[in-house]
Amino acid sequence: MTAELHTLTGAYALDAVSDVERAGFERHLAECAACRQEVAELRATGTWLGVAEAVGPPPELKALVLAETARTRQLPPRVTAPGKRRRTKAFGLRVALFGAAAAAVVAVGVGVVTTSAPPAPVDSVLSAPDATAIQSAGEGSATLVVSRSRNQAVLLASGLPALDAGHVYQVWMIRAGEALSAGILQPRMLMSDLPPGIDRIGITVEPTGGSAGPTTPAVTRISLT
Amino acid sequence: MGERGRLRLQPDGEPVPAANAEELLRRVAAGDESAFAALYDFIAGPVLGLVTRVLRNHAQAEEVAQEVLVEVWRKATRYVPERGSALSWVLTIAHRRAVDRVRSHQAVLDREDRAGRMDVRRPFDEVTESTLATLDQQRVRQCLAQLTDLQRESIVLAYYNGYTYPEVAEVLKVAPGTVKTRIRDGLIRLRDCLGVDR
Repeated sequence: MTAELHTLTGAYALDAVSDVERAGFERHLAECAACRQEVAELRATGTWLGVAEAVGPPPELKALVLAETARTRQLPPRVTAPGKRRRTKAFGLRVALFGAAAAAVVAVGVGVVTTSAPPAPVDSVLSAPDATAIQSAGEGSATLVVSRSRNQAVLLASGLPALDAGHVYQVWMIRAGEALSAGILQPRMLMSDLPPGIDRIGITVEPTGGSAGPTTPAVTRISLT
Repeated sequence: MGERGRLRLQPDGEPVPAANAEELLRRVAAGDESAFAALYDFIAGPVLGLVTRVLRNHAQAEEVAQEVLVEVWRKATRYVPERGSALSWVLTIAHRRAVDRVRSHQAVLDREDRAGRMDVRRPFDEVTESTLATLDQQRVRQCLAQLTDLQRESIVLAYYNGYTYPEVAEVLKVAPGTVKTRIRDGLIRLRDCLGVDR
């Protein structure tokens, strides 16, 4: 390796290079085992700098990530040697399982469960065998994970427009001629028991504190049928 | 990074998982959802912390952290254990994503105010004070303190602010080639001080 190129290992390991320099250096790396070794070591050193910043993530982040992975296909492995390509599990099964996982978020009693609830019950609901994930129609993106065997559901919302201090998003469970409040969305996740006969979920904007019944048109709807 | 460093990362002092992160990642690559949930508990804190530090914006950081964590699931099949630890692989993805976000955002800001970039620099004291006093953090802090000022400032600006080395050079008023070598020299000293194995 040339001395000039070699000194780039540190900056490259910390992503402190332009896209053009990165591409050039990666071509060099492909031919320079000593450089690859040094980059690996310096990256691992950088990892310490990242680890030193670790924080406790908010509980709803896990639910959001698990809901997203439930509908995300994994990349196939790169095949370097001749031979059969390894197959990952059937995608449909994974979706079903992770949908179940997402449903597990439902867990506890009727109404709002705070987002500071311990993650363990969330995990157990997410792994309910019959959990199914349903996507919303309307503003933002909401996923409802339902476990019929548990009669529980969890709503995961993202991308809803921010509201002023005087308003909240309220979640309604709707059945023939009746809208039951499931509680206030705070801020993105809500878990609730699912009473019989509920065929739709709606989210409306309501004054802070919530309303006895919906007073505005739903911004987001989810059909359970 | 050594086993010790990894295991202390468990949030809330929870017990160390039975499987190590590399083993979890191997199972994730085979489509194992429960392994991913366990891996999540291990990596989410460092990922969110690092991304927050680089982006300085909690809403954006959570969004990017979510993307990173889903990418870990998606790309688990591409992890090569011989090239480094699982945590190193994950944080490399996280740092790159955060930096990409900073730079695409910065490109917009630059058009509006090319001079504004200079205000982002923070003194080292403020940098270190923002970290909590865990053992890992103390160790990183002690090792950073052993570097020369130029080495330390170059590394901190490059890694935590997401600057390219020519940008670091601009801020520190030295030649880009000097920053390039100081980053490397500083990282090598850090590596030896921290006892990084790979």
